[in-house]
Amino acid sequence: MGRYAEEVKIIGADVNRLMEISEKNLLSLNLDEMRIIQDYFTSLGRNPTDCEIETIAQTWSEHCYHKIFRADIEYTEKSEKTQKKQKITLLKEIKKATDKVKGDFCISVFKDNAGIIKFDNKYGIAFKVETHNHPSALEPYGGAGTGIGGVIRDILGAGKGAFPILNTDIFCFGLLDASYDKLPEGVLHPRRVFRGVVSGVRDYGNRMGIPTASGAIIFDEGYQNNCLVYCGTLGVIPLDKVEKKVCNGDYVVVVGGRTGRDGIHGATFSSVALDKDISTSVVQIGNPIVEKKMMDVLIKARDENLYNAVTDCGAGGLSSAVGEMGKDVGAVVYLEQVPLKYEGLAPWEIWVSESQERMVLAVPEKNLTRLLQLFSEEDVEATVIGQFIKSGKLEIFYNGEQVCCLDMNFLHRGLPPRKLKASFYLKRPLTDTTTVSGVIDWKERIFNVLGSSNIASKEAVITQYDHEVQAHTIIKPLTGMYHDGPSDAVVLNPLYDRWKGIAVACGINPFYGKIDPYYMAGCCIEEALRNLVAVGADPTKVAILDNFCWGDVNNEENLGALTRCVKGCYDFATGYKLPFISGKDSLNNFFIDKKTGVKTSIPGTLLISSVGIVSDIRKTVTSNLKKEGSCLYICGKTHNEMGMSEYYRVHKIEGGKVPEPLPAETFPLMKKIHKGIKSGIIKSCHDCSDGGFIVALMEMAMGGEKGVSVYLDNIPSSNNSIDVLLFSESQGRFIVEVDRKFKKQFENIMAGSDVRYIGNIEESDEVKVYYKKNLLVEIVLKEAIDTWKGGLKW
Amino acid sequence: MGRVYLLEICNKEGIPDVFGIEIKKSIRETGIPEIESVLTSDLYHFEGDLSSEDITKIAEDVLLDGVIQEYFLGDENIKRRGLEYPVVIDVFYKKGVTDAVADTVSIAIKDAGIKKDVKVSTGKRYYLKGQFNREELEKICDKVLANRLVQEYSINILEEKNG
Repeated sequence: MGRYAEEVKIIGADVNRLMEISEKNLLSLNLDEMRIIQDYFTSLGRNPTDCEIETIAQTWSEHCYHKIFRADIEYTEKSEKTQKKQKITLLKEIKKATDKVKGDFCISVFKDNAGIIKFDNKYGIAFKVETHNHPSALEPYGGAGTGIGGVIRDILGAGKGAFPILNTDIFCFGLLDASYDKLPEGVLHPRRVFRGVVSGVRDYGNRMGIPTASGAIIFDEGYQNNCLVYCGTLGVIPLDKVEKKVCNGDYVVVVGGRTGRDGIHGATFSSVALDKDISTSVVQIGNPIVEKKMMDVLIKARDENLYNAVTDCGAGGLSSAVGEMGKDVGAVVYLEQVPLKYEGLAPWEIWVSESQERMVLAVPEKNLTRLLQLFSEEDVEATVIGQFIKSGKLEIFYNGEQVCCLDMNFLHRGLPPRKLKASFYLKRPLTDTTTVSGVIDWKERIFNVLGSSNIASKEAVITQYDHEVQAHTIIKPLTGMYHDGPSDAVVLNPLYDRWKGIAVACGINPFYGKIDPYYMAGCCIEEALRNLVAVGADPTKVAILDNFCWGDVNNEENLGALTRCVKGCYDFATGYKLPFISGKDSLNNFFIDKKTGVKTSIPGTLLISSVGIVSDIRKTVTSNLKKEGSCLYICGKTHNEMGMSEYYRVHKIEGGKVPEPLPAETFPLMKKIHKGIKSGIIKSCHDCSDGGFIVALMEMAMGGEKGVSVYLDNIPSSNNSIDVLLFSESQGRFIVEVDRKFKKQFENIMAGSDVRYIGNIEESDEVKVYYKKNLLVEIVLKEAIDTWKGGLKW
Repeated sequence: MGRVYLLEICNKEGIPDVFGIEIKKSIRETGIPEIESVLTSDLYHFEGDLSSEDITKIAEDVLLDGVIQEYFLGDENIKRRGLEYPVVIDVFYKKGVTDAVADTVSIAIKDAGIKKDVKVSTGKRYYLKGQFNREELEKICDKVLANRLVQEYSINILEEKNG
């Protein structure tokens, strides 16, 4: 060993020593993995350097390698009477679903930094969503900001660079009224995390000039010790810039920010349980101004065809970026060339640092001078740090000394799939009994649900985000004259010279997953699609992304729940013909209380993000009610599916069945709704989801500041109890407004589906609900708006 | 020869301190209802071959919004506010943590015509008015004002003089 590389004495080390090396250096490698590395270096006849061990640890980290999703899982599904066994690989299952339904709409799936779909003959849309949970729990502002910064760079690194046009943010926090004294040591109060995360996303996104216009916020005590921060970005890319290939001889050029000690071990750290003693360095700090400048000049360089390939420096830093890009070629890197924030970094630190705002380009010799000149003109640093050479090896030097020489094949393909066991117990379907009895104040109950933090208006958060910048937001997050109603999806018009646009939405509901993750998957997928259909997107031109956040997957039952969730993804994605174009997972979101030793995992949480094509943005609709005298219809059948509904949870009622989506009925219905919106017959549309029918109706009325009269028992339902009709969260339902004069045409379009007239829009300021000819509730709109807006204690 | 200056910029009297109001709310939520008022300032720490004219120029031409803000050096403002706000806490980033605003200020100083190398770091100063004990004060610092992971703080308490 020389002056710059330290020898890691792994040859001949025993079990304890191997694990000590992994733990001390925060490598997050288990015994099997340490042994594979040991065997490899024993065969080479030498010990690895610290740089080599770090490179392997980053590349083989859960975050970068997705070991659980690539594992061979022996899955057992048990119920009271039966037992089914199956061999399954989670990632393959998702890809299988895509292969079954994708068509030529999908241009690039599961191979690049983002999924890319076709927009029209000249452009594609790139979409990526990822999580930044662990850093946000420790330092909410920096963690969330860099989460957005990172996913923006993924879009910049999709193909030869897509231009970001939208940010999305979905958060899961603990309860805002949690007691300060009961928090475990090292856990920040949910309110502090909430404010820090919202501010972080706001400051980074707004300063990048990218509108943040789509998202959701969920509150549950399961997230108290481990918050979830999903950040997404969408971009536009010319179709001729989608393919990229690193060529032999291309220079390795790092652009953007400088490298420091921030974020070292972020990739391997994300696999470690949150521990309050984790040092400062795992937290990354962002600088959006640097990223904005880099983004602008990168697109210019792309359009001048100056580079062959690009990728972002994210988890694992340069080691991932250069390692990935050089995977099929080989690379030589001179680390002393990397521009540093300050002196004193060891070569391995430079190599794995996760300092923000950096990207790596593969630049052919003939373009190098022009590229460096262009970046210099725009005041963005660009530095040659090496070359891609067809050697099959990753060779790293520092001041002339070789500190790393790894075989690319070993690095990227040397880890065999893990063999894991998973099991899921199918509980007996719960008998559905409506447990309410006695005299009920339905208005009070409706207000309890309307004002609960999961349903309440997120206006306080939404209005902090700039959703107008770039001037292409057509349907915004809040709708109606006074922005008092929530939109189902955001509609964008990314290319100003044509009427074609896109709609973006999401589906998330961890509560259903507590009972059955299979149906949670179904409901999330359907909700993500339903939200797009509700604004007028074409249900046959939609792509989706999956993002799994799970607890301790070393636990057989947790892994079983995850497996069951993935099976649901397969069944319902193929059922609705939705291709997955990209996905991510963040596993091991659990916390170990230092005092009690108790381990708490988050509720398994799936986020489905969706993007759909809107052929004409002028033919979209919002959810706020438009015209007095118009008719209201409900489309889709209601069932007694109250399990884990907002109504049951708020009123602490146990039991019930979780909603089960029915693609065979709902998909045809969605196509009819699309036809109705496109033809102009449907004037307003809103889907029923959290909180059930009554919340959806209230949201439409509040948004439009219009009174309504509805006949609850007109709703097609297999159960006519009041609470089911009001609050059941059955899937596949929409409430639509149709002008009186189009009643016949509307009913013709919808023939064959469960569609029923339920009432009218009135010239009043009250929502009147009738049941069996009696007035059940009368709600003054102003009161409802106050309750809904006051529910989130920001 | 390097000199050290601490520049404090805050809202003029009568201009609402919105950030201070938010901080007070957060402090109340941690279970300390006796907090009466919070005033905040931005701190800029300079190390370099700067003259007092340079500092005046940096304050007035680069950093200050002259309409709603005023500036002070060192602990001038602490003395000025006196016993009305006896508890003052300064929060700065730990060494090695990226300070993006400071980097921009360095560039702005050169753009303003002061062609000298200056080390800048930014921080915040909190003035607290209210009744609380030492334990509550530390709770305020750890749970609201600073994140020990990336920041460090110093507490300054003005004692009442006898006689």
